[in-house]
Amino acid sequence: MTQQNQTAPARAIIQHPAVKWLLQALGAAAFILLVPLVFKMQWANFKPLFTATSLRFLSLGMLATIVVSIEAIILSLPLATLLALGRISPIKWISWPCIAFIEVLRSLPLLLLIFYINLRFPGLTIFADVSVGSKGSFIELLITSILSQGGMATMVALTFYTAAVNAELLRSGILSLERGQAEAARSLGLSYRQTMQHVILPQAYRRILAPLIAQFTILVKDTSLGAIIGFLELLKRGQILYQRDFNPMETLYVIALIYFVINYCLGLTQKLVARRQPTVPKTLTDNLADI
Amino acid sequence: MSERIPHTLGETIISMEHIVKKFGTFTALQDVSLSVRQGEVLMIIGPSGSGKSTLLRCINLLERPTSGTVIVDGMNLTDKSININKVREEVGMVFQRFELFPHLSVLENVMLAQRIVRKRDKAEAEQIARELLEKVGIPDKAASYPAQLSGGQQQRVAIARALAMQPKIMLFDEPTSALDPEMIKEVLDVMLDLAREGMTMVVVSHEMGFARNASNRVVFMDGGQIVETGDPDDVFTNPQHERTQLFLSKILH
Repeated sequence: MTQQNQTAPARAIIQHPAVKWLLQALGAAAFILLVPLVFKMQWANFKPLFTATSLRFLSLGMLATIVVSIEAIILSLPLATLLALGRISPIKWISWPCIAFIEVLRSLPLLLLIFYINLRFPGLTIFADVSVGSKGSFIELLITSILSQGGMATMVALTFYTAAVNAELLRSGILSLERGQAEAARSLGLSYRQTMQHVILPQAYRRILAPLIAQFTILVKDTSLGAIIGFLELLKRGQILYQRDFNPMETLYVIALIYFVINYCLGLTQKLVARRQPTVPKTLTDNLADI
Repeated sequence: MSERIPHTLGETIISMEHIVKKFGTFTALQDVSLSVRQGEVLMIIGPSGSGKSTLLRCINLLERPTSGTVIVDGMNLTDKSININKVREEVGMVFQRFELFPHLSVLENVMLAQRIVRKRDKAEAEQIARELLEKVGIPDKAASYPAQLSGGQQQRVAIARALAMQPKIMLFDEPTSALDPEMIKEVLDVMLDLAREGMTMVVVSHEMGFARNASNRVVFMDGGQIVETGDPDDVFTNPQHERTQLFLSKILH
């Protein structure tokens, strides 16, 4: 008891938001500087990356990655919801196809899915394939790489795959709710659909928010698989650059930082969404050390 | 002890005939028949597993009877063509564990079904919700979320939520069993007010004080059957059946 009182002020200082933020920033900075040292990167090798053409070239890739990720995230959400609801449907001819779709897609390697969609649906793009030497304005090049065959196939594969994974996630969220919630809603006269829409799904989505965002960060990282079928996203463009400048370590390091920043921002959205939630009882980790 | 509430009884509003409910091989209800008249406050008591909650849940078809007929407000619920949602609009239910919607504020909890089912506009629904929160004694908690309320307050919100649909019948499934002792009275007071207003109520509970003051009839169930029915004073002071005597000797001390 006395020991706890002594450490209380120290803990209060560490837990102050500003101090917490500063410590995190220092830690991140140290890590960012440490990695190049450990891997013996050379400053000279970073220089070709910071030319106007290289930066423009990489920015195109970064934006292509971000846009395709956002497309897949937005499209996968309603699909995942329908698949989850379909799977728990008491009507067999609705639930069985949903189960089959979910189980098959979840068990396949994403890369196989990307290959398959790319080969089976060669007409996904309205543009001729973009290649490295294409001329055009920044926006034109961005749109053509996003809507290229590679970009579209990657987006479609990621959408279906993520929808299948998140459908299971959402189903677990639905099943974790008290049975009484549905009974209370139904006893008020709400229909099955209204109960799902207004009572069950909002709660289920709140419960699975953290793993849902985690799945979306996986999605962002997996856009890099598109590089294999010629989607000019961030990693592919990085590869092209280091094959010209012979600086793979340094280029990949910069690309890694960009992926980190994208996914860190995605993680922040979780906090934003969570802040809009009504007050809920403390979670286990809030006072785990005090128990 | 407060005075016993007089009851004005009307037409039969709930009529259950030969209800059998089986869960797999277990028979929860064995040929139970029961009818409730308008304005009645019927208490169902009995030991755990006696089928009293199951019987209550058959009234709004949260449990579908294996056989038998349930007629509520002139509608035969066991008829497949009946729209069960229409019946449930007229039958409010209060649960042992409140089952408020935790993602909605107290006010939104009371407004939700009014807006969706009764199609009331926002202003009207909010006005009704605020009046009901006033009635159950917690108008100041409208903006709070269920997790911020005590058990007794949550249960009173749950009653307000059910009343917002202006039901003809209210079902209570052990409404005070999950409450701390000092909160039981505040919930029972709200229920007493309802009884005084002439609401038709079916209550599964062991609150003997409430039974004596508010109810006009007590049903004792055991083993999925109705063992004894009668005036609360008669049943409690002079039970006819051995099983009723045994049960009452355990809970009255």
